[in-house]
Amino acid sequence: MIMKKQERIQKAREDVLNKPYEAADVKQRSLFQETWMRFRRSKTAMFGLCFLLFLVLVSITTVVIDVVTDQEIYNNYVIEQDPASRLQLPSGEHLLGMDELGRDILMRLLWGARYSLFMSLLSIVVALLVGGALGAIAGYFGGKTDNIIMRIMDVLLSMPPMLLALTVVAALGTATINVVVAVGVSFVPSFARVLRASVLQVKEQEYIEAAKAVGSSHFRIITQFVIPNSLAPIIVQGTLGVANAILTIASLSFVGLGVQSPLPEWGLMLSNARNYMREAWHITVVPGIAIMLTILSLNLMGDGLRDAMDPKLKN
Amino acid sequence: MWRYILKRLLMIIPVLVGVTFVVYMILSVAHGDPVQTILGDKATEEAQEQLRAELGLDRPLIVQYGNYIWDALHGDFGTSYKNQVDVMDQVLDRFPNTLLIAAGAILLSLVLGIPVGIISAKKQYSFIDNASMVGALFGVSMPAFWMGLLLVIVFSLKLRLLPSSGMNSESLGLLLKSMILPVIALSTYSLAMIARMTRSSMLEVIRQDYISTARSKGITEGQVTVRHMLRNALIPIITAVGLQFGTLVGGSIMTETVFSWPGIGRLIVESIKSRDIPMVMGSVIFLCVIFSMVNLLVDLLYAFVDPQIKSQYKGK
Amino acid sequence: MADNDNILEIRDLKIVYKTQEGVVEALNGASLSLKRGQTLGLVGETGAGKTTLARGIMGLIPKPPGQVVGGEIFFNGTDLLKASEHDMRKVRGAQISMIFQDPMTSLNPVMTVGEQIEEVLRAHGRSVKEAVEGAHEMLEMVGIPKERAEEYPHQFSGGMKQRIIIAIALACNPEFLIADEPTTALDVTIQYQVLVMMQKLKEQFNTSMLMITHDLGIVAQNCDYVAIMYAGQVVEYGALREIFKDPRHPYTLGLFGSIPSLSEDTDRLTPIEGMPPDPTRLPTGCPFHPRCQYATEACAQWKSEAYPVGGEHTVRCLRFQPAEKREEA
Repeated sequence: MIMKKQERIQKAREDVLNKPYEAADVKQRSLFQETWMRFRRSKTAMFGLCFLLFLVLVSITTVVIDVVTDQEIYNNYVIEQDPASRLQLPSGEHLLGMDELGRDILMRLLWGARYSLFMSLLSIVVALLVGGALGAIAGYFGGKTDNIIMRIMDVLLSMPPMLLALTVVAALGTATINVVVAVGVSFVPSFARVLRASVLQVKEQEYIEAAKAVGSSHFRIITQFVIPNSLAPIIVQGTLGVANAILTIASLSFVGLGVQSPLPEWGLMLSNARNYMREAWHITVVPGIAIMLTILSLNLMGDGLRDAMDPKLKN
Repeated sequence: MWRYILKRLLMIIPVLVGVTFVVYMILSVAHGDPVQTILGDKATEEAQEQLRAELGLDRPLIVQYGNYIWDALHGDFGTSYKNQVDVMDQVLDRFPNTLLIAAGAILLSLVLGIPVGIISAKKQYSFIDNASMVGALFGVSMPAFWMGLLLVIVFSLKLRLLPSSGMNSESLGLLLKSMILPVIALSTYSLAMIARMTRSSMLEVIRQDYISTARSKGITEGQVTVRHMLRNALIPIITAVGLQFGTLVGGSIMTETVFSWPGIGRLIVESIKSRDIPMVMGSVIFLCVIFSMVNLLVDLLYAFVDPQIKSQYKGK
Repeated sequence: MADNDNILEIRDLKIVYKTQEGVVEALNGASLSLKRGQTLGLVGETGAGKTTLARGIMGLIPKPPGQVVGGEIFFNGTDLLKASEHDMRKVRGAQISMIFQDPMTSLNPVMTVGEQIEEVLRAHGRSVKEAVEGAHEMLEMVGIPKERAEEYPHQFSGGMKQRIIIAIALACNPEFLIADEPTTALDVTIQYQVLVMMQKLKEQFNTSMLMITHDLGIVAQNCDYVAIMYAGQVVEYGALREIFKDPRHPYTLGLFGSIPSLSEDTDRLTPIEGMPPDPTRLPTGCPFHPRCQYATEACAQWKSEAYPVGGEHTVRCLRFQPAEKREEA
């Protein structure tokens, strides 16, 4: 026991003595490592990251299970109705209780994670690619190109995102892919703006001048210099964008214009639960908590990323 | 100042044309042939042709758009496919109800959000600050419709204090009572967002040198806070408030659905479900125009708080 | 009680900032005094506690994290540290004014300069009309046409902004003015103009002044007395001539050794060895002893105190301890 304590003291002493070397190493860390170091210090941001990783894991696992079992578990536990146990409160057997049609809410939540996650990610990727490209082109070339692109973005920006998404759904119908497109379109202008702003900022730097002087092509300059330097605001905007996309997708499903029954989408679960609020509160509360925790995690992560990438912005 | 206002007014025209054009195109191109929707599959070729000509659908799309806007400017949004009612009448009938809860929500957000943000910033890292910022974090993460459902469970079903749905306009008291829950649900996000923005822009201002100058004049802390801190923090706060209107439109669609509130948001959702395109188009275009006008108002507000604009346009 | 000739007398002032890294001892027993109508130059490196001292006098130490932990500040015979916030408000701007370092950031960007001058007049009992007239008068006095009262700070140059700040500070005709590096942020030619103007106004209003600077040239030209600060203490204090002709403290000697002189021919300047101490971990005894070439072992145990060395000149250094005191110890 005593030996152990002394060992511990010895180790602590060594740690302290080694510290100067660690400090010297800081300079050699890459920007990514630097950011991660700072990000890791925020407990709330780490909570957000862990919860999201958990959701990704759940989504992938359930998809794999579906493929392996040929949707047997999905059909038996997520879709199959059991009128006898409808609206059952949470119990040892069914941890989160049963829904209005007697389906296990926990199972539906786990199988529903993919909709919120993958649909929103997909729509943000679409928005990022389209909006980012438009913004980069507008910022990089400036002049007339810039003017035309940004005026179109202004028009899209002057439509509330939810309204734009509804319009697209009204035109295309409520298929899942249309919802992704609808949400994606509504996020195009914000990404275009962010990328354009950072491009304009980077464009003024001297190393861009230098790259032009040695004859680099436009494409090379954009991909090699401009985009890496715009990464920080884009990642932050992207994280918050995913949060918004999840909210929009859940909202569309909730009003019946998104994912359709009997799929276990969280917003849709809430929508179906509405009529049974009087008898069973848990079917309204539980899916809502899932949506809120996901959005909360993304917000926490977004705040953490912003602070980590640009410490100056932190108050 | 007037020149700035005029400039803003002129700038909004191309945006309005753009927005209406985009909405018109998305809805009419993707929608396909409305004639079949109206007459059904069994109508004769002649009947279809006749209706097509009647509706102006045989002309180029751009001309149709022009006609649509021309009519809209004269108060005619066309007729609903579903029940043949006048779209403009319906929109104007529903819009005040939406305005009621939207205005209530923005008012609540401002009246609560700004003071909470100020107090949080002035007492940074205190219990009040931590508590309100955790609350605000949940506020921005909570979907309006879920908030609405929770409110109904607690205040209507459990406590039986307030009505769970519908708009009761029999008397002012009942109307206000039926408004409370929708307004709270709708304001949650904006309230939280405005509190967060107020706090962060106040924190930025609090450390400025001119606050020390102000304090060294011997004015009260209240005067320092309002005249020097708040007036400087106001520009980002106004921007934040302006951004809330877009969220508010989305939120009101959800809130109206939860509370069966007869507003324009629910009209849009119902019309999309019944494929009533003229109704969707009319309501969406109407909302977009209103939204642009609100944004314009926010822009004009800058003219009163931003000295750069004030001095630039002074006396010209 | 305080000396009646002195408008300001600070005794053993201790101010700390409590931060996550530890307790910063910004002021560590600073003492000085200033006679009515005179100018005192407060000289020291960045971080020596000059601004903290100024803010301490104004009662504007930000708390948290700052805290006054001891000492007295007598202004016209009353201890400002015992005054209520309400009484301090009456003092600030009316009896004691302060000019801050950076004119670019010291004016409120969303108020017209006229409003900002009027504000201090209104705070001290003038009517609206008197305040507007007073503001115009002050602007003219610092050489800005009164028509420009309606303009915003961003429409003025740095030098003009500093003039406006001076106008705010002097609007209520205070007895005592604190100028915290009033010219550091300005171009050299503008510096001169501003200093000349301050000197003129000071004489006109018979104001006493505390001039904070790290520029010994400015001190030589504008001040009657000098206080040298190091690590939160006034290490040497005296009349201008006493300090400049006969500097005693090793740190003061170091300061004079590190500026070039026109009259003497030197090949090299002699910098002070080492770095200023970490304010969260000040050395024991004399805070300067780790850098001092005269340091002895006794310096680390010495209880810091000031010793008179003739005239009004005092030095905080063990080398000047009078013989009788040495025997006591």
